[in-house]
Amino acid sequence: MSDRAGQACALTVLAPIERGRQDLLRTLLQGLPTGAESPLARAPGTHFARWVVVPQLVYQGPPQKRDELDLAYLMFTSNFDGPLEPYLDALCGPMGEAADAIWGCCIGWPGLGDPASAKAYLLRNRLATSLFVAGYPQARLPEVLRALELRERVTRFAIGAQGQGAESLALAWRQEFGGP
Amino acid sequence: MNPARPLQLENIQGALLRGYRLPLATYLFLTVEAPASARLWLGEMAEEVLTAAPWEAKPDWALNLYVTYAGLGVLGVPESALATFPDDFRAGMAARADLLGDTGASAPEHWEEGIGGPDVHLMVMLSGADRRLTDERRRWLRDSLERAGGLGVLSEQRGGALPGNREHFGYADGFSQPPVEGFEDDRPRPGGGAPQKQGGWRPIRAGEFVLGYPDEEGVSPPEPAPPVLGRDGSYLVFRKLAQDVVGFRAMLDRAMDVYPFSEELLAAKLVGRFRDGTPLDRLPDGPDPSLVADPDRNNDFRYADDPEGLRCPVGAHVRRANPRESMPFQGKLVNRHRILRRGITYGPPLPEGSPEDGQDRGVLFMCFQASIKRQFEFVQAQWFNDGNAFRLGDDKDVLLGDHDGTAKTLIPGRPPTLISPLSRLVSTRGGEYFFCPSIAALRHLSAVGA
Repeated sequence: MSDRAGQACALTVLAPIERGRQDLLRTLLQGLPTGAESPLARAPGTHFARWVVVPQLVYQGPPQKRDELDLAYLMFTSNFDGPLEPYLDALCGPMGEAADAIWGCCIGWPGLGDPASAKAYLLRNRLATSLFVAGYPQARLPEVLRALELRERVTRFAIGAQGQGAESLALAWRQEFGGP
Repeated sequence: MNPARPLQLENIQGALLRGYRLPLATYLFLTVEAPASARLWLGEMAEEVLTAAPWEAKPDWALNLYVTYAGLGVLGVPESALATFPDDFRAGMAARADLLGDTGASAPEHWEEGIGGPDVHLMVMLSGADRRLTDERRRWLRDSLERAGGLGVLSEQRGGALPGNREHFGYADGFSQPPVEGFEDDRPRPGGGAPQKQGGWRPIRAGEFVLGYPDEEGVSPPEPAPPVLGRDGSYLVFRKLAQDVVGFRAMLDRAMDVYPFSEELLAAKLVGRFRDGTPLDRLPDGPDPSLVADPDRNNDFRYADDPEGLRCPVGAHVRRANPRESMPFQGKLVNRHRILRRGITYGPPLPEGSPEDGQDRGVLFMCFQASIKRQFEFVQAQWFNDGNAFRLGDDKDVLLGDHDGTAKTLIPGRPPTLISPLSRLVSTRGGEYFFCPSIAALRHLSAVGA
């Protein structure tokens, strides 16, 4: 499975939703808090992740063959700092209640009372990653965040320093960023 | 690809396929008080609607009719049919405010009454060649409403084109509209429609704008049921956008403190065209009236050989609206995000150098598309109100972004210039999502539930 790009890891889980629980699940997902309150913030190293309700396959015309799902599915995809094992531990541990509520709408979820079975459930419903491209395969999340912060600082500096002569520019640079 | 049936021009509303270029427009926003009387009036008006059928002579006035989701329900469209309309249209514009950047001063709680919301059911657009005729047609329309009864006028908006097709910030507008496949002479002028791999351009598939025809994916997108209601229809976005002209000029003034070239070039770099319409991608150094006057040249550019935006900045307004071949796959995905713009300015122009006069001015923005979500909302949210798609981080369009007073934009060059801070220059005053029914659908609505 090509689920690695540098140190970055990809995980896709496709789990069948219990009949009659699709609306509840949608409401739950739409109500999830964002930012620091997001349950995904408790899964360290998440670069990008999402849950998607797949109610039905869309027929896009020939040459595609018509196909229909018997059940709706919940897709979870995540790009994160590898390896996989501790990430699954976080999904089935610190993310706790949210994970239980979300996958609790899916057929066969054992519940977080039994974390080992919950991890096995995610692995069992995992889809093989056939192609994974990471934007910055070597940079772990803290480095990415630091780089974004630095970029913002340099941008602010550049806005303020426009039009300055070489000498005062050099002075301002040293004041802001240090160096000889 | 499915064989396309020819466009049913007698059944399609005229404004959808054709910009009338009539200088005046009045928009009446109606609420249905008595459905039976309203249906009768609708049936009468269906026969007055200007269709897309070929003209012998250009009409000097035109009437077109649009209906909201709430309007469909009030007129008596059954729940089973209502459920076949897409969720963006059903939700209405105010519900999509966060996605559209309609926040702060643009938030729905500050909107003018009677342009959108659950009480707005129908909108009549009256276009006219001159004031006398437009007023006369407006009286005729108002009389017909009074005679019919059962309909109330919630608000009226009036637009009037500025001389030289300018908009209030001073730029000539309307150079670039996608030609629709199968409509009249659909051979695109250079720069219109979809860029071809081997050079040249082709028209955009009709299904991107009219329901019931193959789109750029080669299939007919889902249409509401029954077919008589959905087919040959379209979705219309209407927005009243107020422009802060004094704020725009002050921003240019401040930016000249750091921009090393002319104010004229700065104004062009932000928009992608000089004020007279000369496209930067063709002539990056200065405007050329002879080029602007030549429809074979004034839109003929692709951005493909200017990935850094040294001629036309990547974040310039018109490049964001239609990034052409600067996007991957020769811009193929861009063809899924085109709109047919049919707006008109409102309010008096503010002469150069004048202080704030407190007058309301801007544009009554309208656009047609087969999918509000995939076309208008995508362009607004992803291309104008964000920069990620263009590798510009969270930089937003200088004109349409919901800037918070700290934002910036980059003008690539030697040296590059950063313009900051940016504040909101265009505020949403109201708006709604409408369905643009076919003539047959209007007749169907006049009899539905009866």
